[in-house]
Order: sequence, then C-alpha cells, then structure tokens
Amino acid sequence: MKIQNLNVAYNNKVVFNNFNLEILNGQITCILGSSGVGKTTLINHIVSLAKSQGIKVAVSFQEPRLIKHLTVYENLKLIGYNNEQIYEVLESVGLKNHAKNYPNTLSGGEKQRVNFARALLSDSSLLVLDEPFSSLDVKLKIELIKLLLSNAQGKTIVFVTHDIDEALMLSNRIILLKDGAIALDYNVTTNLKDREYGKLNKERQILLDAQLL
Amino acid sequence: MIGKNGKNSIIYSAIGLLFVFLLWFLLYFVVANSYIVPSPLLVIKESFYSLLNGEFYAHLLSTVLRVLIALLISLVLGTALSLISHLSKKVESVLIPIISITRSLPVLAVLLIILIIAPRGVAPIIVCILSILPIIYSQTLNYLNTIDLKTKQMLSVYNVPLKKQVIKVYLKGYSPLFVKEITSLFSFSLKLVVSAEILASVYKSIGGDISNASIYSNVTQLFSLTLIVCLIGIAVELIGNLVSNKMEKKYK
Repeated sequence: MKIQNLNVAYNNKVVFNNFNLEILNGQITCILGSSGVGKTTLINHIVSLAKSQGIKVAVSFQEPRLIKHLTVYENLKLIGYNNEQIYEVLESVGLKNHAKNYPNTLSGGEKQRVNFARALLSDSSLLVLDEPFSSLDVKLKIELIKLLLSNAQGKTIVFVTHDIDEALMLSNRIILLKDGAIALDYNVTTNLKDREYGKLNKERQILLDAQLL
Repeated sequence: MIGKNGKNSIIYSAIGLLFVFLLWFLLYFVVANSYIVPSPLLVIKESFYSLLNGEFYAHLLSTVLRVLIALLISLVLGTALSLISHLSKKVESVLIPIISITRSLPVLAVLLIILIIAPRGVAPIIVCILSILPIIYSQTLNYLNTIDLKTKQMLSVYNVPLKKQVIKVYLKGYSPLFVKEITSLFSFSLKLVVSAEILASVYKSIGGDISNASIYSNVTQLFSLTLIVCLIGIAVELIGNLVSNKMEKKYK
C-alpha cells in the first residue's frame, strides 16, 4: 500500500506536507513518534485508503469504542464472530469470565483488551493497532504482544506507539515520525522470537538518538 | 422488584396526588357549590361505580385502542423517518419544513376539518398522530445524532451490516429512553384523544361519556371520568419510568 503526497492541516497547522510512505505486505510496521506528531491521523488515512482499495481491515482503536449497552460477548458478536471464536479470544486476553459483563463494569485495561480481541479475531489482511497496550501493565503487555505475534502470520500489521520498547519488541520496520516527516525508517534485524522487552539496547539507542535530533 | 429509585418515584407521586386532593378539598369548602367543584369523596365514589360498570370498560377500551393505534402508527412512521433522516441529510432537509408545519398545526381546529372527511371514531386518531409524530421523529433523531462519529467509524471499519447497526446499536441503545418517552407520550395521547372525542362527540368512548356528563350537568361524573383518565396516564408513565430505569441500570 502506497501513501503518496499526503497533505493534512488542522487549523492552519500543517501536519503532513507531501508525505510518502509504502507499507509492505506481510510486515509489522510500527509508526513511532511523540504525542501530536500525527500518528493517529496517518493511520486513519491508512484505514481509509485500505477500505477504498477493498482491503479487509481490522482496527484496535486508541479508545476502546465498545457499545455501552452490549455485553463484552455481544460487542464481539456484533462484528460477526461465532461463539467458539469469541470465547477462545476472550480466554487468550484473560477475559473469559467477563463475557456477560457490560463495558461500564470493566477497567480501562480490560476495555482495551476487548478492543484488542475484537481486532485480533478479524480475518482481515490488514491489522491496524493504535496504541493498543497504552493502559496495560508490562506483564500483560508482553503477553498480548506474544499473542499478537502468534496471530500475525500472513497479515500486514501497522502499529502505532510512542513506546520505543513496544516498537522494538513487535516490529519488522519502525517509521519514526517527526515534524510531519519520516525522521528514521529503520529495519529491526533481530528475529522476532528472540526479542525481549526492554533489552534491545543498541536499537533503542539508535531510535533515541534519531528522536533527539 | 422495585428498586430504591422506583420506590422513591412512587412515594413522590403519591405525595403529589395527596397534595392535589388536599387542594381540591380546600376548593370544595371555599367554593361551597357542588355544581362547580364537587366533593372529592363523591367523585371517588362515582369513580368506583364506573369501575364496577362493564359498559365503562368497553368505552375505556375503545378510547385506549384509539391511543394505541395512533401511537403505533406514529412510532413506526416517526422511527422510520428519523432513521432515514439520520442516514441522509437531504431527506432530513426535506422533512424539516414538513415536521415544523405539522408541529405548529392547531390540531383541534384541524379536527373540525378532518371530521368533514373522516368518520368520527377515526378523527381523534388522526389528530393524535399529527401531534405526536413530530415529537417521536425529533426525539429519535436527537438520540441518533448523539451516537458519536468514532462509534460510526468503528462500525464502518468492521463492515457491520446496516440492519444489524440499526437493530443492535441504534434501536437497542434507544430502548430504555424509548420506553420512558412512549409511556409519557401515552398519557399525552390519552389526553388528546379524549379531547378530540369530546369535540367530535364520539359515542361509546370516554370522551363521549364526558361530553354526555357535561350536557346533563353531571359534574360529579365529569370529574370522576377526568380523574380516571388522569390516574391511567400517571400509572402508565410510572410503570414506564420503572421499566426504563431497570433497563438502563444494567449498563449505566
């Protein structure tokens, strides 16, 4: 998927000016950058572009976007998944016992896990994740990253975060955004299975240096 | 089971009713003319007589049936039009002036015109529809417009079929408010239908009975029938509030 000459401005403030990016099929691409740099704007554009090209897409949104009058089970059922799939994914995100609960009874992290489960269940070829682990503790974050990696085969994943360790743990390629442009396009060479959260010090330093430039 | 809020609303309604009766007693003693203000006790007694009379129930049924028909037609039309308006701004623009005109119609004056073309028993239904259709349309559309863009974007991303969106997201989410509004509209419709029945002299109806009581200066019966209509309206509204609160409590 190619984004070509993207121009976005809000209230006379230019977010992207002639921005170009190619998302490679079957890869996990991470969009990394500080708050307000345009990460969510970019993935909204990616989702629109994918839909316009007929690509089946699933999104784990920054806010869970659960329907408040539907239970956790009904929220997933709404998307068209069957009972077996729903209970399986709920078990994998540790929420099997919450299937009959309404979103108002869940914590922020639990809602985020339902949001994540909803995207994970989809048989879409493009999975877009907008800060999916932002309200989770490190242990759960690592568990969900592993779960995501086990479901990633054959899928193109675009993943947005401001957490360098998350980006390094998950991605084949990291796009560092700064001032509406790509500050660094970095391929992580360490095998995905061999990565440990917070331990890729060399790569971490490269990204930190690019961020500070 | 009735919750704490439900019990409170019953208690407050009972206090309100008691206050009205006290005021009525006071007026009865001050005016001291039972042709203007009849004794509340006599009116209650008359109401009990009416409730023991089979004919009264037949008349009540015919009035309530008119209300239910008007509500059903308004509901189906109002909900369908608001859904279409929500999905198409063009349709909404076309409907705005039509709804505004309908809302500002002097319905009881319109009733006299309707009586020329429609049977007496049907005219109150048409008057009621003309009054409550714009209300149902506006309230449903307002609710639909409160569904935020982010939820709509989520539904679109996951390709949730429109039929499923309408049933599971829009209508199911609206149902507690809907029950509350519809029961409150029931008492409003009952008031309208009875008024139209009086004006159209519809026989074998509550409005017709009130009209007869007025013709024969039976003030006690006039008050008794009015009291029964009021109490039915209050009871339905109260039940609606209890059901609606129970539905909402699950996810609020």
